[in-house]
Amino acid sequence: MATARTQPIRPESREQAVARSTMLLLLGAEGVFFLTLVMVALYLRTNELHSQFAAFRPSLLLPVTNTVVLGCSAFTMWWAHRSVGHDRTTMLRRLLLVTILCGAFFVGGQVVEFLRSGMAPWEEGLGGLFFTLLGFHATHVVAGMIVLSALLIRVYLGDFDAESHVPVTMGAWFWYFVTAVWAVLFYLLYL
Amino acid sequence: MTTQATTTIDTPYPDRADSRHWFIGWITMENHKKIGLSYMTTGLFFFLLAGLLALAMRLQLARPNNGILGNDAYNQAFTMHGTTMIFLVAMPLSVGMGNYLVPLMIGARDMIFPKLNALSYWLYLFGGLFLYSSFFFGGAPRAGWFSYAPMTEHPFTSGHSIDFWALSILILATSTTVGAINFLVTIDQLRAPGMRASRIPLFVWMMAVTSVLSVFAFPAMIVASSLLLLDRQVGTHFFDVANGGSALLWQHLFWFFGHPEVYILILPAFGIASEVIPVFSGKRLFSYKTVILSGVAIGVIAFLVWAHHMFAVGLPTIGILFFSGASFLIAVPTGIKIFAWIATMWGGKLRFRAPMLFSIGLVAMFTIGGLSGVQQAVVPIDWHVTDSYFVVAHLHYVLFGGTIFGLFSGVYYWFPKFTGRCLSESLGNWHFWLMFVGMNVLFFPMHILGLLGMPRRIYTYAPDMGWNGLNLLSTVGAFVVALSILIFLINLWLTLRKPATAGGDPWDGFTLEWLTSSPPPAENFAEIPTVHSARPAWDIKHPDIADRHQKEH
Repeated sequence: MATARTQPIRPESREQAVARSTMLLLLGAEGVFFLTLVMVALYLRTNELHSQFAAFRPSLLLPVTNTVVLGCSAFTMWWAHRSVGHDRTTMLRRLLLVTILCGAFFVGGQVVEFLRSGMAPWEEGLGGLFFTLLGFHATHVVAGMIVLSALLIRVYLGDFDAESHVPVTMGAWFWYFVTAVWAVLFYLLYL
Repeated sequence: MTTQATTTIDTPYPDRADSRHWFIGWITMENHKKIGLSYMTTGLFFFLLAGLLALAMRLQLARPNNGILGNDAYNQAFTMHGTTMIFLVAMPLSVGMGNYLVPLMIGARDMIFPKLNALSYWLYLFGGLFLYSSFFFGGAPRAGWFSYAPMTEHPFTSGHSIDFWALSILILATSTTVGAINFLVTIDQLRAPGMRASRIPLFVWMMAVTSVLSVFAFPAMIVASSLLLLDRQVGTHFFDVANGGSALLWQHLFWFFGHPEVYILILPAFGIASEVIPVFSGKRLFSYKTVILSGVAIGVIAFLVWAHHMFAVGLPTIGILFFSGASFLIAVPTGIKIFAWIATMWGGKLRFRAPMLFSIGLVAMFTIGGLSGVQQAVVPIDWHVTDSYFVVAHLHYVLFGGTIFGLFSGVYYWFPKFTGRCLSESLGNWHFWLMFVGMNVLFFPMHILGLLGMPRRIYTYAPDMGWNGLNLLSTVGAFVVALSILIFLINLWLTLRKPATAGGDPWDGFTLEWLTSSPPPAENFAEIPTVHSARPAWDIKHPDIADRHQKEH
């Protein structure tokens, strides 16, 4: 078996360092964006929407399923990233595809969940809050799916190998971010 | 070694023999110098527009019960004046100057993402034009530059003006955030060999702190604008008190962005002063590392003071105490800078050329503005003067006396680098003194007007309030300022017609940009120099008294 050659922690090339810094700054901005939305939710929950939140008892089946699916997609993304580090591009291809499909299931599930819940964005405070938070998050999932699809195409073109796969790393980080944000939103809104 | 050839080429872009039409060259530009000049030229244009709006406002307020602008027109005037000056003038001029100079000052050939750099500019231009197009679609936004909800919600502001405002903000926020990431990664990755953190020029440091503030503050504004648009267009109720929303929520979101924003506005000007004052004092900046750290401290504390814009809304006392204390605290690093600049000048061989006049003006005017600011950190005083002309005086002393003076200092200082020509020194003096006197005549009376109870954002006032004389005086000052700007424009025009004979280093500067020709070639440096101190150009020009031979460089 070949020696494991995973991406080292210290940047070994200018390209890697630049990509890392840029993605960290972008995720920092996005993180503050979602943190602000979370603060909006907490502020409104404490002040105005307290009773609506208390009365909110949704069926948890679909949200929990979605959470599990998205969590699995983070795992497959990690596995895909690890595969390219070991030069196993076939596994990378398959796992990227699975990750994208899990993302699609998640977004579809979110749409179904929102429509089924009967909450309209304009009817009551809680509806607007859910629509906005889940909508912004789902948009970022879709953006992630587009990025991963572009990466998948490049995998087919043979662009990545064990030594050179910085875009895959960046795509993976973005996907982990999107999953982490969901964990926070799920806890905040459903539990 | 780099060349110091004098160039006699007339255009700022001798970078390549370009047979394409100039417009195509502009649309496809990627060079940081070209983008920087575009930012600065567009910023100047918006400065004149916003200045005309201010003159209209001052004409309206010159006498009581005046009839030049009605109430709705006046509301549009002050909203557009503020929004333009902040988002379309001060920030782009700083970013433009940073765009041109940061790669040169760190010894790089360009920014790290040239195409994203161009995108930032085009988003800025488009956002600005989009905002102004509102005049043709039912009128400009009219709820003030901070557009408080719920006044900006549908029952209270009809038409599309607020949608124009919110969408423009989203476009401009994207431009700024992308640009900020570009600056930070450039400064992190593309420095010349030997340029460790304590040797990075102060202007570059301040652009870095400004960029960090942009990355972490703008998302709150993006959320606020998005929620406002959702309320107005989709019918959500974030700021609609009757349906589970909160009026205060807008203020928290806006000012969490808005306070770091004002430091985004002033830090680049501080950076410019920190470059100009040492050069024209013939000395190193006093306590270089302390000045860097004070800039970083300002950046950090900037996120902890936002509710000092909300002392009058009924916050809990413990909150008020915290924000008041933090607002006092932020005056300390700023004061450190003021003392460092004075200490730099102390005992130096002072040259009172135009760039230096404006930087000294910044030190004096910002001190006054800072004092009126820290007074408002005292909550009972704030309760008395909030939403009065006292605040207008404060903000203009720091933004005009601080940012605008700093930017003019930078313009006079780096104009020969951008164009190969020095601006006329005598016209520069006329500009400075008229602007300095005019600015004080314009804004100082506003402190008194505020204490006499004159509220902000009123389109007229009764004749028996006791405000007549001071308002008239203020308007006279406004026209003196306008005259000074006219002189500056004449200076620009006349200077650009002269041949480009300034040479690479007309001021005997300290930093790397002065080692290139004026303007620099497309690739900036023939060979990237190695840096051994915070004054690398000085070291190369004066090897016997170079900084590198002193300790701690």
